[in-house]
Amino acid sequence: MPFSNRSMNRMIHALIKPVGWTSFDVVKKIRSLTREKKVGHGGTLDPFAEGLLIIGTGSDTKRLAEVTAADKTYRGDLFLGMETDTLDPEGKPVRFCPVPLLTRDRIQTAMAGFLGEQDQIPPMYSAKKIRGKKLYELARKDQTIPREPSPIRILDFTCLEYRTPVIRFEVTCSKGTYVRVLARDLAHRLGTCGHLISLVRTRIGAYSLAEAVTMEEFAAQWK
Amino acid sequence: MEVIRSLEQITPLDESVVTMGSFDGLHRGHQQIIRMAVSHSHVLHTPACVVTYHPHPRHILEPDQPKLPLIMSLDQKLALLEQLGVERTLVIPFDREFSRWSAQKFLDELLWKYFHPQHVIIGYDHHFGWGREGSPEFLRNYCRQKDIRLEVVAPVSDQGIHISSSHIRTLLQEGYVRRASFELGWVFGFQARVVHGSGRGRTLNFPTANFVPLEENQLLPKSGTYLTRGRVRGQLLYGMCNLGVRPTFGEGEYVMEVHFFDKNLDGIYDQTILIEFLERIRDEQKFPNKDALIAQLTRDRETCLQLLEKYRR
Repeated sequence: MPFSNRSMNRMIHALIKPVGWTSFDVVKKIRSLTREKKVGHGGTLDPFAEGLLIIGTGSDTKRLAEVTAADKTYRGDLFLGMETDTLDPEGKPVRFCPVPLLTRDRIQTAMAGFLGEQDQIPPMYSAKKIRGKKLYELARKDQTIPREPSPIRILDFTCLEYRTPVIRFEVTCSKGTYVRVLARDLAHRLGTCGHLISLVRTRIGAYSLAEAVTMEEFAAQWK
Repeated sequence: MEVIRSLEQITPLDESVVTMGSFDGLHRGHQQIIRMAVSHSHVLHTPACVVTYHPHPRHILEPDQPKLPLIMSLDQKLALLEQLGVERTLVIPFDREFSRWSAQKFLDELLWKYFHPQHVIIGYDHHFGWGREGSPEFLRNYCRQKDIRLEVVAPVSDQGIHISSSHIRTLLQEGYVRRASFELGWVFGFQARVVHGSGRGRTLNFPTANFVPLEENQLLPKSGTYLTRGRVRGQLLYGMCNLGVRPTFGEGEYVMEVHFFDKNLDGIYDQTILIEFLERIRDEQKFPNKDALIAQLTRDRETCLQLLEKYRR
């Protein structure tokens, strides 16, 4: 066993969140496995997304704050021609658009236009709170309210593959960036619409997916 | 994309997302169905499949009627399906025998046997099987038994009009090519082969190439003059196209002739070119003499060159 119980008390764990789990599901699971009262995570991953989730246990929450603030890298698949209300595969289709003929070069050129600092308006389907109300609770009642843009930064945005109608990309972005929104905006810039059909977080600051353990592996360490 | 053209060649799939239909035109409504199927297939990690028919079922079922003119050829349909991200298309050779398959047989011996779909998506108006027995309701019952998810997609409307193949055919036959392209979601056009014509254009100082559509049942827009764009080997060839019987010369033979604006046409014969119809310029007209025709053709060219500005990027 690489870890002893004592060293687990105040620790940062790199875990692989499976598709379908909320980030809080992971926190709950870790809490029950470690019987640690204070468990938190360093940056939410949507249920449809998978990949690296950093969990902090014990009183060492300062390090968790550093994780939350770090830049993050994702690999995603953007499906062109159909937009959903949630901007992910769990939502209802709301818009269909013709998709122009695209080349990887053309996509990469459009992506380069997103590099740098900019403002991003959070999506209605997000856990962000405005005046004490979670946005997605309003969105589910078909309500849309104005949202303040937040400053974000895109450090790298690369097209890995284009197999019509799906763009596979890699993006490195600052804290608070909604990749779903970035992907939708890229589709718009390419003259169509789209939504994210898969998302994998591969890196958070100095932590990478390669070092992370699955939920099963983590549970096995705690038997 | 894998294309299968007979039931004997097909290897069954363990799972899939399937949609089916004639899909003439693959218009925005059809595209919506296909896009939903493809997006589900990516999430489920199974192939997105289309089942379609060739020839068009109405050509077989209504042998006494004039053949229904088609918005697109099978090749064009397959190319667009591939662009939409479909992985496998079964083109059922539609004949009298197949037309007698009952809806139940269609589902048991084709859909279930070869595709084992987890998810089926169809348009609200799609029917299959002998006598159009296979309605969306019929399919719903079947899917319930087999534990297949079924989605029936409502028509796409624009300005109160349901987008449909028959509406688009009407638009084209009335000459509304821009509206038709809008409803199609692609610029209306078809592959046509260059053939030798009467050579009359050259005597008018408007050299033309004569075209014959590759699809024998190709729907042609209303007679008249159009701004067109030819696509051949990655090149764009703008021109104006005359569709009709050339009433000024009283020959009566229906022709499709294109005068290209800026290309030398040597070496173009026997080539296949995609001709897209961008704008309708005017109705077909009979002129009192050759000079009056030349004067009109000169004005048409001016009109086209002005309209063309917005197409050049």
